[in-house]
Amino acid sequence: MSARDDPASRFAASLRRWLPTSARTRVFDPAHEELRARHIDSATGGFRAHVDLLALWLDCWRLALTSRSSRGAEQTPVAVRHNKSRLAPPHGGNRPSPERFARTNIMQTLLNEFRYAARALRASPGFTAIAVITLGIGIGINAAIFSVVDTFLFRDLQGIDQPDEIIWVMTRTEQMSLLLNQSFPNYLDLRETNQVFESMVAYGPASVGISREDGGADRMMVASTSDNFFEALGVDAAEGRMFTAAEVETEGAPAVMALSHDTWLSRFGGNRDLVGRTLDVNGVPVTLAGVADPEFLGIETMLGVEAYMPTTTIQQVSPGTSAVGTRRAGGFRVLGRLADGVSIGEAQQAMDVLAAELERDFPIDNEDLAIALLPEKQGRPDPSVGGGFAGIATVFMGMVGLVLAIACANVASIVLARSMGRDKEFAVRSAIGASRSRLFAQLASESLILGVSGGLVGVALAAWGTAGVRGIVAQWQIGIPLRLPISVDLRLALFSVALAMLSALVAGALPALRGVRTDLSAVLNEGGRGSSAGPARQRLRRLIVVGQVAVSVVLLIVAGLFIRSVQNARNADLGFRVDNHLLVNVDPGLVDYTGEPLSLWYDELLDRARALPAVRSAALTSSMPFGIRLGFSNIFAEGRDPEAALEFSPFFRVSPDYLETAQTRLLQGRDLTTADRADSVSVALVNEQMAKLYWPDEDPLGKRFSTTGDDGPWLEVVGVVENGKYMLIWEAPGPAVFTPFAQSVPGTATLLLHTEGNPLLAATEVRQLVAELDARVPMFDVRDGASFLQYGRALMGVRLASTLVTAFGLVGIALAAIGLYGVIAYSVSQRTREFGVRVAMGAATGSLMRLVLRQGLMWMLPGALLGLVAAFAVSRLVANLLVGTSPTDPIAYLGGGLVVVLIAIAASLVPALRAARVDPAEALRSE
Amino acid sequence: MNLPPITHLQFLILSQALTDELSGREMRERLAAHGVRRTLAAFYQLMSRLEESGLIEGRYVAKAIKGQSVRERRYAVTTAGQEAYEATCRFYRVQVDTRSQEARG
Repeated sequence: MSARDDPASRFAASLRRWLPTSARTRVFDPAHEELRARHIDSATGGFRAHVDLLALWLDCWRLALTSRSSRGAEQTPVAVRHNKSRLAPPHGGNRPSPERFARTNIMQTLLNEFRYAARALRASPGFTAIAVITLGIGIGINAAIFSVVDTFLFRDLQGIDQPDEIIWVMTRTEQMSLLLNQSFPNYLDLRETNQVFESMVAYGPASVGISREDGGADRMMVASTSDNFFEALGVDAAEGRMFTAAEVETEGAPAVMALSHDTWLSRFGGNRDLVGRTLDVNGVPVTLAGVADPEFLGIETMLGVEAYMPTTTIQQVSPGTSAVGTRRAGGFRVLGRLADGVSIGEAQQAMDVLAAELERDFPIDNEDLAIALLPEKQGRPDPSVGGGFAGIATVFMGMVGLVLAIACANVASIVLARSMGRDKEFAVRSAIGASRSRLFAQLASESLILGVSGGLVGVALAAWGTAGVRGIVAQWQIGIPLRLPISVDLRLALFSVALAMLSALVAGALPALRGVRTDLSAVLNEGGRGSSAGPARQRLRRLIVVGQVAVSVVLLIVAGLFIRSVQNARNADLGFRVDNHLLVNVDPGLVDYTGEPLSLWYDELLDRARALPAVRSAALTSSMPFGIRLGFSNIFAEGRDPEAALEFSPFFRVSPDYLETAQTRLLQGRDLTTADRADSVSVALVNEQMAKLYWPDEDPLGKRFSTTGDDGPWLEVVGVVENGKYMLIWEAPGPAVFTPFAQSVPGTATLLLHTEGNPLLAATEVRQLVAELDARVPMFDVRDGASFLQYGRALMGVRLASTLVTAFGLVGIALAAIGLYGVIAYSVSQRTREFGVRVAMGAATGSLMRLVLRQGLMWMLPGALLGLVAAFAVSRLVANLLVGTSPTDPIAYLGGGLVVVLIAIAASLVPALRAARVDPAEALRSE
Repeated sequence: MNLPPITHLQFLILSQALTDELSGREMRERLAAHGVRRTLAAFYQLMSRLEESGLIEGRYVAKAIKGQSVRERRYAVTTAGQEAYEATCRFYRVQVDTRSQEARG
């Protein structure tokens, strides 16, 4: 957990928003920091920290409200006396003015109503508990999901100046829908020549190995930054300093780095002495200049950058990978801050002109260059797929909105039910002088109490829910540090509370009040049989149940579709199998291994890994499918039109035995062997789809293709393997290429081990093995095949969507079941006399039960049918999030319908049993 | 001679921070030793008013406690604060001297 991501800090941030502006920075902030220090120091936290914060918040309000009078406390004694005499009322005494008296009277009346309402609610604990829990669930689930959405879509970037002015400057390609990064030279030219941005910064993600004290090395995610990065964004140093002009502008200047605040705390224990000292990065001494401000959490919402280095330093510590001087290579994210008075449209026009100029000046590297501008918030969580999250967020917000609707309907329904039994109470109050407005005030007070209590439960549930989402994300392992700074959004919680109160009031209290008869004698004469206004209100309740069931059916069917998606994704033929495998990533390239030594190091690693007793087979690959390092290449077939080149095809460099280890089937030709060395003929395996696309009616073996252009160098196809999934679980079959590892050795690789028994048991031996070979080589992302699939990029999105949507569906149906149960139970209680007569006339127990069950099903049926029709429409909206599942999947529809029928039966069962057990003598006597 | 421009409490605060820059926590502890107890919010409101009137200067300093980062507000007396402190000292010194002279003669 990061320093500023603990529950107490999030709670403090929420409280802070609800203070007068002057009290926030002047009083609350320093006091909160002191409290925090005290809690950390004394290791008290949790509940105590929350209570202290709440007390501080209340005290801030007290001071804010009384600051005029308390200001005297810091004035000279003489001034205080003077002020007191000025403030004293001219007429003396304590008698309040008439206006103040009237105000006090209204407040007193309202207070009395609240007390009365609280007593009334306390007298019906069952009703109150159900209403509060129902509202709490609805509000909690909404607040939790909105908090996630808020983090991704609405919340400003922290720790930088004027975040609203920040714009992504990306490259648009014609071939792909993705937006791409910029090359560093293009960035420098755009920055130099444009007139529309006040400043432009660039950063590129890179990995470095940082030495530990025990001689080993850890891999660290760094951002290689342009010279003006911190200055233009307005990021300050919390410790030490950020980079000087000489360090960032001069080639060969002393290497420097700055740590993110979180990394400084988590990796280096917040050691201040480190600042100014040198750290060993990729074997190069690098001075730690400073630590970034704790508020600055980076630019990208989920990417946890651990350290920052100017490009001049990156060129020293990682000369082969910086790509600073290459115009053809992308790799740098570019952001601009719009100049005063310039709109994004005007900036786009200016960028179009500059892109055309860059293409004219560098036609080969900048062919078809187009610049796309995107406001920073629209590029979340990743500007490459900017805007993609908004669609998913809409679906999720829609679904939790439906859950809240069911919850509100439930509360309305039970408030209505309760009002039916309160005619006598209202009539008595009315008879002794209570006006309709007083009765309304009482019902409004009850709604307010229910709403606030439900809101508190909701906020607690939301805090638990957001922790759950953070837990799910923490399990994701996609090869880069992730962070998810979500916290409960108090604004939404308050909005939900207001909505819940309003719905309880409008749908429950108002109709209840309208039906209230204030004729005391008529009500008392009817005895306990309920009122004649009951049927109208009962009809309203049935209508509410129809709506609830309909919404639940929609939620259940959509949840069913997602569950089917996950099933399909799990059962999908990926083209490789890693059920009993260990995956280990190593990065010898970070510690100066290149060329022949690098190749020999990998050979040694592979030989020793194969010799481990638990290992059946072992192989090396530049990346696993779905891996973060997955490489892509254009493919030009020999003798074909270069215009028909395949763009961005997945490209793997694999060692011999990869096919056997990954259990990928070889369909034709031969596997790669140890004979495919750097000095032998360049060969490749292609997948079935590539063979089909390029050589549909020919034998692909012996055919040649190039990855650089239509004039070679050529790679000869020696084998064809089965198709697989490489980037997305739902992707259509696409071409892929596998070349010998030895013919182009990558600096970073994945060691894939097929093991006997539990793969993780082999991890210790592999760690030892790598340490023996060279302790400096960073080893990271060690995991078994199952977790690679479950928590890696392959399934994470579908799994999260499925988990959340299923939870929504289950909560929705549980709430609807409570609603249905309430209506049927009430109906049975109203018909006690009728059932008594039926039993007295000889009706069998079974027939009475069937009667009630049939009634439950009949009330559920219209809702279910309505829900089926609605689900048909709604499922189209989520069609593009489903994997191998049609939006009209009959199993999901049948399953959803069946669950609703079972729930209706379950909800009717208890009232049915009650009906069957009616004692006729008792029932008739009670009348 | 005019009355001093500051209260006794403000005088006490200025006297504590005259030589050393103190954190809010340290300042509160020193005030408590003189029997001055304020709630956290009241104390920082007091300090913010002193800052507003230019008598002291506050700044945040990051520090690590048990591996976690906290920011601490530290306070130092400004030149104006020092002048106000000295003016108050002078005022009382003059009063004491005058009374002593009157008593003597």
